[in-house]
Amino acid sequence: MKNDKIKECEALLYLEADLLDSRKWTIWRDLYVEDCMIWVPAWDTEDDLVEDPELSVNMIYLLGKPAIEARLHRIESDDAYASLPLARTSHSVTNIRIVEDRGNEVDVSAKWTVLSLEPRRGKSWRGGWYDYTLRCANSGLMIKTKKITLLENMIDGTVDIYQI
Amino acid sequence: MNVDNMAGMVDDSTGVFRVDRNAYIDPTIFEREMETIFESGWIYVCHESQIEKHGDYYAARAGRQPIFIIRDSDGSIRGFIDACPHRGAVLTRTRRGSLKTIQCRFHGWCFDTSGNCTRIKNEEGGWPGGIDRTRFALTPVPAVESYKGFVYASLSADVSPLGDALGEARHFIDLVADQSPEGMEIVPGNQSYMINGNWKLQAENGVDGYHVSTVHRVFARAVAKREALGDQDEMRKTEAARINGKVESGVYDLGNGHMLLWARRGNPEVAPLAENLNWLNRQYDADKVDWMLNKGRNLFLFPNMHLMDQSSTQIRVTIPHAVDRTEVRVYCIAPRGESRIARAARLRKFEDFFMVTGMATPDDMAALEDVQRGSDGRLARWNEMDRGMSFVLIGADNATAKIGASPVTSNSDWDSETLFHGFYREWSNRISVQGPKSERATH
Repeated sequence: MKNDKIKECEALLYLEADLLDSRKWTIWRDLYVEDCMIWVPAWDTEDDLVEDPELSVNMIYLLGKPAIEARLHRIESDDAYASLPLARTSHSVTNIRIVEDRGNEVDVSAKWTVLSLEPRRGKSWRGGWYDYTLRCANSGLMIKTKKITLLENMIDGTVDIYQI
Repeated sequence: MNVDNMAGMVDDSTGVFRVDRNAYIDPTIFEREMETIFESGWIYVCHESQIEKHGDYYAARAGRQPIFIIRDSDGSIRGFIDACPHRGAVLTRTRRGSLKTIQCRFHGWCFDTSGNCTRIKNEEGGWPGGIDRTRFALTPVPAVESYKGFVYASLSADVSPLGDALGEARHFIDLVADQSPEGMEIVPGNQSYMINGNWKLQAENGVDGYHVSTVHRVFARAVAKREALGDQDEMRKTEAARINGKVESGVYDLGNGHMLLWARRGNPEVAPLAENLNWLNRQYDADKVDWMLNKGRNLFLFPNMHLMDQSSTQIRVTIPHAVDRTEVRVYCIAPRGESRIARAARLRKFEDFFMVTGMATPDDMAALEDVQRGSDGRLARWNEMDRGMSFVLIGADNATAKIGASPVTSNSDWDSETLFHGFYREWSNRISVQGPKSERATH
């Protein structure tokens, strides 16, 4: 059983990476539950990330699907200066591990690197950690929360949700 | 470029106002700016709330030179060149920290927060005639002052008092600094980003109203979509009204290179500050409260800081690294003691607009970098900043007169570019050898 669960988690994370790279935004969005959260904390010091997203500056803190829709609107609109042309990306997701399995929810950690080719600025290579909480629905696993730790606190250029 | 020619880079001789694009691409001009602006005049360093206790320090750059600002044992704020007097290693370890004894990590020499050398390793032998510690005090930053919590430093002692240098801009700093009985503080979490562009383009962009309805209309639509889909949380509602439509607005040359833009806020009643309204009304007259709450403001303080107070509140520090490389550090400044719901709303609006990972700042950066790239087209020489010249007012308009401010020029339409004239005149004066020029080069 345990073996099946990790495979299921891996499949979801790999699928998400592929949907982002292939710009299938709607299918990507549908991996998330309605009350989802995508959190990219800011660094407070060289060593510490902010701890409380509500009362800190975050790089990205999206609560619920409407917040994701707003980000996608920018990407799809052909009107966002920074997103035209869009960067080409390649997500690599590794070290996928179940941290805690509570039956109806499972916490999963992973490492990521994204190679991003931006027409305006050239190549960038960013990386960090993923911490997911996945929800076990009848239809299979869905993403409830995704914390993305971006190692950089000095961002050379811009970063959008599909580049991390 | 020969420094004698630098005054000719601003052309306002023929009923236009234009800036030579060389200003954005010539490394010799950049070196000159570092010398005559960033290394010999006031620059903003940090907010006092970031260095509250004895030993708290903040590391920064003044032009090309590393400095740090530290709280001394008597509560005063001091600044030093961030280099060991012995063999030059940088003394700070992190951007911010706290050290009552500053120990150099190279050879272990120690300094107190007044800059005195307090320990030399193996002091007892090896120096002909012994060693005198007083020779090795840290090199002080010649001028450090703070205005209402905003800490400034100058690598030249030959500067006007900070209050005079800020001049008319003080009225608008006060509109932020005076918002809470408990003072203002910097919220945890920050971001730095690097722009492939000249620092002056960043200075312009933060107070340029003219680009908003083109560059940021997508922001307004994205936020509208989020709200239409059910994200209606009252105080978090981002105020996009001023991006879309014509609202009452104004732009000002405040003198000394400082600039201001404001636009009437769409729904100030949902502003986080609105919860302080009763206190504000007791404390200040109606015009000041109107400016604080209803007029969203972007203030540029020459040469390196923006103080924004619109849908959220931001300090944006510009750190030039090269003629075409500019670092920006952003912080959220907020009233101490505000409610949890107001603080959270302020921060969400901050993330929406002000972060390079958000929904507006990336577009500003892309536009700015396109200007940088376009400036390489040397055959086309000028950047034109003429709009609004036909209706510019000399001195104050009604809005600024109400709070006793006296701008050099006022303009009632934020699609006007007249505020940049003061910035570029100050810039031109500062980089020119002989100071202010009454006559400009003809071409």
